[in-house]
Amino acid sequence: MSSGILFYLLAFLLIGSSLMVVFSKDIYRASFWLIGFFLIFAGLLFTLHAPFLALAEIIIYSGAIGVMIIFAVMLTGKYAPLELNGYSFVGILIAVVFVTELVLVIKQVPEFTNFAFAFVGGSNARAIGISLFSEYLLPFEIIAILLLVALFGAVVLTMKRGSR
Amino acid sequence: MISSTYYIILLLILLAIGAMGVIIRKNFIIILMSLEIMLNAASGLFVVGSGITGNISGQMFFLFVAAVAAAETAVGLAIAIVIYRRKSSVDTDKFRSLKR
Repeated sequence: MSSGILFYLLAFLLIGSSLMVVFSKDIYRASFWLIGFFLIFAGLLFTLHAPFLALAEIIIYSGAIGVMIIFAVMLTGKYAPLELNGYSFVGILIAVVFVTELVLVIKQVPEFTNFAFAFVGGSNARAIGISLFSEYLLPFEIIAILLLVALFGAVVLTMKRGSR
Repeated sequence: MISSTYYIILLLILLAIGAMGVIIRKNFIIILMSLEIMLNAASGLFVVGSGITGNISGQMFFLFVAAVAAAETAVGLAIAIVIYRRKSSVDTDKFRSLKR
């Protein structure tokens, strides 16, 4: 099964890169591993038959958010000490308990094997566009206002005191 | 054959790794990166649900979560820069007080 091999490869790369983000001692390397995580996640979205979302993931996350995080890393000092805090054991314990509990629940859910998408209107991007401008029009406008407010907020927060 | 259960378990593992990063790391920017991993995993679960039900709404949620994540990252990194300007560090145990 070629799709099985592809899925396991993507899973290995995703878990590995996210662990590198969490446990990396160097903050530059963590940010680059995060960009790699986003790109591999786009591959996972391709295997889920969501090509529009995969391209949006590449543009928004690994493009915009990745560049923004690298800028913040460069602005907030080069050599931040990166030791873990005192809650390491608690954090790992919570993660393990969380995964075990939810996997036990998910095991009881019936499985779906065919992700054969049959959306209205043919292609994925067309279906998303029609849905975005018909039934999700109000959330679309609200998201636009939210992005504008976040832009103003970022500018006002980083403005030097007295420079207005 | 890869079923939806495999995808759900993979995304739950990623969610747990992100939560672990938020809990155990000190650096504020690493915490924001772990938050991005958590948001990605959670919205990926929406996409899997969209594949199961054959409904496009899950994929719409992915787009909205991406927009909210962009806004959250912009404001969070602005806060990190302001904190670095005042405390010359972005470690979370350096800014316990809300006063200057």
